[in-house]
Amino acid sequence: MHRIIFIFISIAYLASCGSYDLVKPKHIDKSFTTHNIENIMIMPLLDARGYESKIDKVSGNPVFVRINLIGSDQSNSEYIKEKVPYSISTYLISERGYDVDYSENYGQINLTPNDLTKFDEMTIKKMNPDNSRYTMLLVLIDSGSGLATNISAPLQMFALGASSDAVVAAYLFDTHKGKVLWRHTVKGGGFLGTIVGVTAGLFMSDALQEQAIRDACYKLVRAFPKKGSKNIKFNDE
Amino acid sequence: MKYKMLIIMLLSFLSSACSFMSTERMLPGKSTVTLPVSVALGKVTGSTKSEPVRYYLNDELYRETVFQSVKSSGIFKNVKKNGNGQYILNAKTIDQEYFPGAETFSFIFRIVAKYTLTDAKSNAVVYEKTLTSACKKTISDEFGGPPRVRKATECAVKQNMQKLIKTLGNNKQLRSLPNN
Repeated sequence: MHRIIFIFISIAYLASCGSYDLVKPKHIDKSFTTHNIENIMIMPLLDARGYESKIDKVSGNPVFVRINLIGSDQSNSEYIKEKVPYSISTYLISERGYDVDYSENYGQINLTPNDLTKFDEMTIKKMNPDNSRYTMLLVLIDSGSGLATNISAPLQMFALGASSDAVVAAYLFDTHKGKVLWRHTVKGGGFLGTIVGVTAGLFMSDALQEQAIRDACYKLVRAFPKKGSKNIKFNDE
Repeated sequence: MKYKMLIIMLLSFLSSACSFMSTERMLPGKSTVTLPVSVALGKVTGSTKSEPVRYYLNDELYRETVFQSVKSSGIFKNVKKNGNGQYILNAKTIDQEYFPGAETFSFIFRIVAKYTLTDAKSNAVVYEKTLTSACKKTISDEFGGPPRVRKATECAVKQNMQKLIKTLGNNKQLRSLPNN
């Protein structure tokens, strides 16, 4: 009995030692050092759903089009606008050790999805709400719920399940220098399998979408170096 | 005798699992500044969520925590739980949520709360801030699941109160008020 308990405790402790690998972001500036960043000002979520062609050029991500059976692309806008900044800040605080703040504007400019293709020095310098030096812009590229979209097309007709996904891009700006310090884009997903999932998915599209947003934010922060870390080494995703 | 260790472990787990959240463990500590104003607590809204083995701050507990935090920190000259004051402090939790951490069996508790300080006479807002804090507890911090969840909650709320006291203390408008 003692041996079983000892093995159980050992496994539990070993399992808790899982590392939070640093994944390589899409872009990281050479001057990026985590030591200077005291506080990250998170700007309001920029809803860029429906701007696929322009976003594609910036993110380099393939655009996917699908038929929404449960949710709709433009639904739950207010809900998502709150959840994305709060979810990313949760991981930035607890997993990466930064402090965050929120602003209700984009500083001295009124940002629209059309501006995403031209982040020049002057534009970045103006994105400084409350004169913050380090600001983060979150862009929601796509979100929605559907029928088992995580599964490849030929298998979809045999698989039962409800799924939700969210494509989110994040930019960290140094507004003093007018630079994009860090940028990453990820796709997060939530899935409820089987016939129960399909039925529940009809009523739980909010919960599925939140799961997708949470997953996307988790993946974004995986590519963000920990505060105070030296010799940053990235692992392949 | 054979199962002595198992029984001891089970008892210690159950005793820790039955522990409740304590306001004392969520207090932020002393403030470095004292603002020369009297403040009364206004509307304080906690969470309406209630789930087994999860600790959410309801209206009553959140009100008590905000009151004790502000009072014990000494940030204001005078703090009243109810009634009138020069300023009214309102608090509302926008979100209280549990997240899984990166490590297996770890929990993150996140609290997003909006605090507003208004002039009782003119209704002018002198301080308004949305503060987020999150705290992670792993199996190394606490072996039992329920106490781990509780500790994550208390830690996050404590950090939120510390941020509230710090940002109130840094508020230029409040600091510039004359000392009565």
